[in-house]
Parts: sequence; structure tokens; C-alpha cells
Amino acid sequence: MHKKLIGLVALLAMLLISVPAAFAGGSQESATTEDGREIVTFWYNNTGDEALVYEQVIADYNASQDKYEVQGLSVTDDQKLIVAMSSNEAPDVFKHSNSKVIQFQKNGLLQSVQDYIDAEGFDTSVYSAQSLEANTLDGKLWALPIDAYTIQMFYNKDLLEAAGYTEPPKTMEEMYEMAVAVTKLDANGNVEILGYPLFPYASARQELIYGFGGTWWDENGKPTPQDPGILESLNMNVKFRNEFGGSNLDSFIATANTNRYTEQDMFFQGKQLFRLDGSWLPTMMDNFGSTVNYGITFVPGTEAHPENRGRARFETDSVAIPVMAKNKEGAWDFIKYIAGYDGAKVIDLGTGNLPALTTLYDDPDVQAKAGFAEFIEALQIGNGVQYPQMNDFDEYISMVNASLDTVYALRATPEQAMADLAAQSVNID
Amino acid sequence: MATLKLTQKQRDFRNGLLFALPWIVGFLFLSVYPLIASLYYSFTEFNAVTTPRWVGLDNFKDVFSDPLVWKSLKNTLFMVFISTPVNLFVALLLATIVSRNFKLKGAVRTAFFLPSIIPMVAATMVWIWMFDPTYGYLNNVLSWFGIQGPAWLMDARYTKWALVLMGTWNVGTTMLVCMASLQEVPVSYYESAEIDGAGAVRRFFSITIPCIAHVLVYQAILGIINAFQYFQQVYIIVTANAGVKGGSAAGGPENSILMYPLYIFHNAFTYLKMGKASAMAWLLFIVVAILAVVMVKLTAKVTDSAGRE
Repeated sequence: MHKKLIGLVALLAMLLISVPAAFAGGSQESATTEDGREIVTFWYNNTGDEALVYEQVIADYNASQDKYEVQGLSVTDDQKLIVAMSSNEAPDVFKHSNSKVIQFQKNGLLQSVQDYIDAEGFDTSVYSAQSLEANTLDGKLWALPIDAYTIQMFYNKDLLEAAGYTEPPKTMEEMYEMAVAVTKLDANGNVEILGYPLFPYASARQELIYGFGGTWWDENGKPTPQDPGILESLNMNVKFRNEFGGSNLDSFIATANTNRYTEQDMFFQGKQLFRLDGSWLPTMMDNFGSTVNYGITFVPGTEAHPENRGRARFETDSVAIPVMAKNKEGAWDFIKYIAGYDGAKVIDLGTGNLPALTTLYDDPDVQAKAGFAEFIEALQIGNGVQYPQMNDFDEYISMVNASLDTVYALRATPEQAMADLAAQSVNID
Repeated sequence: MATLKLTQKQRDFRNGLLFALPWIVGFLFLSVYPLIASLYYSFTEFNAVTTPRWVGLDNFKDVFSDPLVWKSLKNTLFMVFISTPVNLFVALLLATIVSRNFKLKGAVRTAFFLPSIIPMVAATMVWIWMFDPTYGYLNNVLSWFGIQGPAWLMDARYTKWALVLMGTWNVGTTMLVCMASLQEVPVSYYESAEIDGAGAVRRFFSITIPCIAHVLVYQAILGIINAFQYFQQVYIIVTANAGVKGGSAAGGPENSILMYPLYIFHNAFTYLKMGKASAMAWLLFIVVAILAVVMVKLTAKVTDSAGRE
């Protein structure tokens, strides 16, 4: 009898489980508002003031038409997006970096926007070629870019002039000389002013290496950690560390990292000579009341390869439609707005990111934004380095960073560390 | 049709089961189903969204051949075998101190316990500041003694020790349990020992420790299981250190704080390799289960001997 009862209860429990499971994900129909407008859900990965900019664009879009109502949500956690997709509760549109867009599509998670573009004859020529390429996989566009970003070099004019230089560096060799002249230690060996742009780490991994002509992957997306440009760059980095003491520099970098983009940011405080950073930096400096007298110049090339000047990463923020979205038509309609002239302009000016639309390059408001003219010039030389379309991109970058840590800690020479990385990344796809 | 006549015992059993049904449903739905599903996923290539594809033992082969799995296991074992005993020792020490009678005893107890109720995320953020090599309290205190502190969270030689140090701040709950068990030790034992001429150290090791051994072992089991699940603190540190657009490895400097659960998380949600993550989770489950059995047997032995005493 007991066995029968236990069996009955277990069966009942399984049934109770299977009922909600069968309906998990809910309806494929999109919801409507009380006044009959179709709801379009939109997730963006911004917070604070930047989230307000997105909410502004959403409000503008909702006021511009009466068929759809976009409901925005700030979601900075990728885990939530993935879980939502897996449980069929994905938003209709989401905004993310182009590298994430490509990763998601490599896993078959997106609806191609190319189908809508072809069906409507939508004009994509208004976007820069780089920004379209960044969102293209297998010949199809999977998202539209709303902004673009690249990194260039900020320099502290006063520190440079005090060291006797009137012009910023054009080559890595010049930059090294200036960095050594300006770097200042106190009596205990603590770094007071950092000359060489060791911080942020992401720029040391990228722009300092791109300037030497190096890249971490080839045109087929295969890892190339032993690229001569990488080794040259790392050897210069190590030379500087040996000259001023790796642990002293690490302490400075650790503090710089904790205070990044705050009032105490090392560049904002005049304690960094060179800073490889993005077009948003001038806006932040204004917001934090920094009085540093700075200039913006291209990432240096080398004496042997001056053509590498301005070579820096190129990425976009893009809007895409998950394959399981409930209101794809509404999603596409909103994408056209937010990635169009009016929507993108508000986003670009509000967040300090650069336009992906070439038609915005000459807009007076865009040109008037601090730093934008210099950065747009950098975009126009077309020296941007795009991330490879690898399945294991994030995993590879983590491996690269771990290998760089051993080089920075002076526990392995660049040659040893990169040889180890080459062996470790042999199965990276 | 014959009616089914239930005895009182059977009726009680049925009613009991029905009362337990909500829990049973929750247990089956939230524990058993994910457990079985993850076992299935461990044999598939699965990105958490699209249909899983059966790949047999490939994920397990991948796990065993991935050097980062072993590195993450080694880092986790460091926390299990270094941080757990250190925490237990600190908790016992604090419990011994606050069990004595002195002025402001209540305030001191509260001060020691308070960190335990602070959310881990907030506490970790505070510790990131405390570890700051330039402005942090820790290096400032060290500098009073002429010691130049390291970049705790940047230098792979110090990162795990920083975590151990951080753990000692959060032993309030263990301290309370130890305190309660210390109060259970009969005062007459100490009085007899004192008459026999035993000093404070002898009394501690010959009376206190044997009398509360069963509690210590139980706390050690909990500590070890928690150490195997060490995630939140390292996730926050790594995320904060990565900065905008990422600049450090997924497991901190040289992956020195890549804990096993963090690596599972990265595989599942960053690399979208839910199959491999499930395989890793199952291996962890097996290791912890074996360890738990060993510890339970050990506890039984200690409890028996404590009972005999």
C-alpha cells in the first residue's frame, strides 16, 4: 500500500512538473498595451546616466509612432540574457558589442536583419564599411550598429612640455623616450607619475601591440601569439618594467585600476603622461572637473612602420533580434529608429561613443563634442583592427591575458610566454 | 466494485505525503530535475539555448585535458586546506576570547559577529579597497612597521593569501557555534585539572579541544563544502579588476584565483559551453560527495569518542 501511495504521489508530482515545463516560455504571441499598441521589449547593457540616454531614445521612438510601444530594461548581466533566451523569454531586441553579436550568431541565436534589409531595400550605405563588417557573418548582417568605438592616445601637455617636448610622439620609440623622461618615483620607489601607457591593461594588450603591426590572430581567425609585432611590443614593455621596477609599477596600476573613471583616475589627476582610451574620456574628465591640459593624438606607429600610426581596435555597439523574439517586426522597426540618424545621434552624444553612421560625422553637434573631431579623423583613416570571428574568442583572450600576466610579472620572457601560449591555444577554434 | 479500506496508519501516511507534496514538487522540480538534466547535458554539446547534440564522453575528455581545470582545482584545494583551518582557528580563538568575562564583552562579541551579516558583495568591494597598494588600510598599517606591502590583488603570489585574510573577517557564525559549545564544557573539569596543577595551555588541549571536537569537525565539514563552492568573492574581484573592456585573465592574475566554480560559470555563461560546465559540475559533485562521506564517518568517530569521554 505504501509503495502504491508513494508511486501515486511521485506521479502526481511529475505531472505537476511537466505541466509548467510544457508551457515554459509562454506564448509566442507578442503582448499589447491597453491602447492596442504592440509591446516590443528592449534590453540594453548600460546603467546610470547612460541608461537614461537609452530611455530617452525609447521615449522618442514611442512618441514618434502609435503601432509599437518599446519597453526598455537595463540588463548588464549576460547570464540573464542567455537564461532568458533558453527559457524562451528573450527580449525582442537587445543591445550588445559586435563581438557578442557574432558569438551569439555562431551559436545560432539570432535572427538575421539582412532579411528585413533585403525585403525593404533598406539603405545600409549610410553606415561606415568597418561598422557593417563588424556585424557581418557568412555574408549576412546580424545587427545594425548604433555607435562605434576606437582607442587613441591622450597625453598630458604640461608633463610633456616640462620634459622638454613640444609634440606628442609619432613612433613607439619616441614614446618610450618621453615616457622614461617623465616617469617619476618617490624616495621609496613608489611611482608618482607614470610615463609609459601600461594602464589600462586592455590597451597594453591591444593598441601597444597593434602599433607595432602585431595582432593576436590571423585573417582566418587562428591564434598568432608569436607574431613579431607582439614580441617587439612586449620586449619594450618589459624594458620599461625593468627600468622602474615591476612591483612599483604594479602597485600604481592596481590603484589606477581601482580608481579608473572616477574623480581619482590617474590621468584625470595628472599622474599619467599617456593614456590609451576612448572618445568618452573628455566627457568624463569634464564631469569630474579635471583640469588636466590634455591633447589627443593617434596611437604611434614604429620607426620601421610609420604606417601603423592610428592602428587601434574597432568595435561597435549593435542592436540585434534573438531568433526566439516574439515581436520581430516591431523589433526591426525599433532597430531602424535607434540605429538611424535621430536615435543614434542621441546615443552617441549621450554616451560619448562615436557614430557608426558616416552621415553623422559632419553633424555640427557631433563635431562640437570634445574629442570627437580627432576620433572621427582616426576612424576615417580606416586603420581599425576588428576582433576575429572565433568560436572561442573569449577563452582565447583570457589565455592571452594570463600569459601577459606572467610577462608583466617578469616570470617569463615574452618569447617563452608566447611560445607557451601558442602551445596552449592550439585547439582554439 | 470493492471499496478500498485504509487503515488509520495508511491514512496517516497518505495525509503525510499530501502535506509534504509541495516540498516534494519543489524538490523534484528545483533539485532532481536540474540534477538529471545536467547529467544529460554533460554528454552533449550544448550552448544553453539551442538543442543539445549528443557527444558521448567528449566533454569529460575535454575537462581532463584542460590545464585550467586542474589549475582551478588546485586553487580551490588551497582554499579548502588553507583557508578552512585558518578560519576555524580564528573562530575558536575569538570564541575563547569572548567567552571570558570582561567589560564590554557584549560589544566585542557584536563587533566580531557583525561582518557575518554584511552582504558578501559589499564586503568584497570594501576589501578590494583595503587591499589597494597605495591607499589601502592594509599596506598603510604595514608601512608603520617599515614593510612595503605588495599589490595584493595584482600579484599572483599574494592573491590567494588575500582571500584567506578576507575569509578570517567573516567567521562570526562559526565563532558563535564555538562559543556555544565552549559553554557546554563542564566547569568541574577545569576545576579538577587546576587542582591537579594543569596550566591554561594543558587545560585547553586536554579538556577544551576534546570536549568540543565534534563541533569543530562539523564546522570543518561545512567549511570544506563552502570552500569547494567558493565563487562570489573571486567573481567580484575578477570583474572589478578586469575593468571596462577587460584587461585581466578570467581567473585573476595568471589565473591565480580561478576557482573551480568560477571556471564552471565561465564555461557555462561566457564561453557558452554548458556541456563542459555540466561535466565539471558532476565531477565536483562526486569529489564533494566522497569527501562528505569520509567527513561524516570521521564525525561519527569523533562524536562516539566524545560521548565515551
